[in-house]
Amino acid sequence: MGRLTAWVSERFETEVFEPYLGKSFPAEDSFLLGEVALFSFVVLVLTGTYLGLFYIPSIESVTYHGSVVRYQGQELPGAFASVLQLTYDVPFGMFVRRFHHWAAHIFVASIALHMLRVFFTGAYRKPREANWAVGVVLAALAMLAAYTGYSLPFDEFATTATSIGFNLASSIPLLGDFLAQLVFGGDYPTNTSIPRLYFLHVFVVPLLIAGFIALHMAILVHQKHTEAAREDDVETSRGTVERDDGDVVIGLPAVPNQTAVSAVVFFLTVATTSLLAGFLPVHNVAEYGPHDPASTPAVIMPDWFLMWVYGFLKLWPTWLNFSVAGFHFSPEFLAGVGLSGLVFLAVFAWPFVRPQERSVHFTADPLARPVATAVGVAGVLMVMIASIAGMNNLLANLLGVGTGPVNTALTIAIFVWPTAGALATYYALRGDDPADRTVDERPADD
Amino acid sequence: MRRKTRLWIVSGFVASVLVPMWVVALNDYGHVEEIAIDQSVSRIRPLSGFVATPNELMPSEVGVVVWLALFGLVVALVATHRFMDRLVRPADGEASTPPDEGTTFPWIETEDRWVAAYHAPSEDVTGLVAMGGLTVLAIVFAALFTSEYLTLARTQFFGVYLAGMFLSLAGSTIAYYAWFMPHVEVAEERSHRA
Repeated sequence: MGRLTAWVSERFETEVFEPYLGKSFPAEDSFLLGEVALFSFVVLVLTGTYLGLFYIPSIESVTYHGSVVRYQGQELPGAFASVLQLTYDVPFGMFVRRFHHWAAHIFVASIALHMLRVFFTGAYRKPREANWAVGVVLAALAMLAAYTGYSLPFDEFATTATSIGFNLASSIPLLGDFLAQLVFGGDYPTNTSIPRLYFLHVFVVPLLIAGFIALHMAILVHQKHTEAAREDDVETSRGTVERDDGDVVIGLPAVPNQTAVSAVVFFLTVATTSLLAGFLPVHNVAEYGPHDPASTPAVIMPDWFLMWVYGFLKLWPTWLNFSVAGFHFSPEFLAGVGLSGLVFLAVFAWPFVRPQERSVHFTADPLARPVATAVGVAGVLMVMIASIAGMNNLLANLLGVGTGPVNTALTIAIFVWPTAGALATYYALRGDDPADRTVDERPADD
Repeated sequence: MRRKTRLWIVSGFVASVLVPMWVVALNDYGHVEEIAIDQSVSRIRPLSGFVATPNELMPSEVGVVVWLALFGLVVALVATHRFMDRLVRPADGEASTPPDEGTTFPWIETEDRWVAAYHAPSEDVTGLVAMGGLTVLAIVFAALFTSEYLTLARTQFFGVYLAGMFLSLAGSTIAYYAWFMPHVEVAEERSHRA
């Protein structure tokens, strides 16, 4: 191995990379969530490239000659027909399509869980505020990537659900028309909508995601990881590193030890996605049928990660809208853009709202941070109640009542329950019982 | 208030909304029939399989499934990570052998980075057997995957074969890490710029 590395080093002057090859990665289980997101993105690029070989981004009618009996001989939009062809007549087309879909969902979910981990352990604190902001942008881009891809098959369900986004974008005063033009080609769905969404989905948004991932990683490498509180002082070949010494980071070298761990993360992520793709259908376009402007699907709902935005729309009273200086602020704008934007802004700005004077390099115990944990619990509860509101028709069906009383109950719940959760969390955590503490809490600084 | 009580209070509030949300999301909206395929047009059978599965999932159901899958993945990662890091290396307190010069990689020790822990690999024959077996298994799954592509292209079988292949590769990597890779930990100055 030594001769091989010497051979490579001599020819490619790889010694410039050596400071990075040995970079220390603290061996914390939860730190691997970011890698799950990263590898999901890699899988998305690879499977998306395969799908792109067969997909036709057009709604011009073509005659379908594939194997799905229901549509044989029918005139179908080109996009829909190409996805049918890819799914049912191309060897492993259905598998790769499902794989791409499930990887997209895991990508968004793992980013969300990664962010929750960073938030609750306080890993966003000085000097990592900027990387938190980059992470929030990445989360938004991941959702945008999923959204722009959702309607590409031009099926009835997705096209109707995607139109919610069009209505939101075009409801923005002053900028609405420009955004509708930029993203949807002016109206939705039209001949220009699908090629535009396709271009955004396969080129612009992935490029932005790749760029922000690179920035996220560059900041991480520069600032180095946070580290969980050490249980004790650490004896090293150059003396003792004290347990609270944040000037030194201890972990596995990037190459080869952490690389092996990362390889296992990659393999397990792909194995999980394979099982999902093999056994569970997602977005069955043959079942939904092609977009039909004359009909509306029995159930309309966005992807699960946008359900809370849809919930805000459903709970917002229709009478609550107004005009200022000639600009109309519609319920779509106030609830879908305004309220949802405020949630994103709050998440983005949190590290700057509660700045710290000194740098913190150890993660904290969430149970030792009453304010931050209470705020986080309230936020999670609010998003989940809003998500239930997005499915108010399902809840009404389950309870055997109309959506009116369900909406009233959820409107009360979205104010009361997060507040109750925050207060209970705060009062439960604020008391100090050192005997219970199992980790160093000094960095909590809450 | 004790730590466990605090944890229960916080978890209880989260569960009080998470559980109803998932119950609503999994609310059955009606039966969906399997898509009929004309086998005279295409010889592949993507819908054929050995387990009856749903024909479609609503976005709300997808949300529940993906979070359960992610939690499952996290549990698997935690278990393997702990196995790799703790179970196979010598227990704390046992002597570790510092590496001879030139036996480890040149980038491990620099002016700003040094060895915090080093355990030589056991190179036990168990590891060799595990790696060999798992490598053979990965090759078998890869062959099955390829043959499925060339024949009926059944989606369920693709899923099983590919998962089998990657699980075998994961196992093989874990075995190599545990038995044949020196366990190295490094300490690094935060202040240096690389």
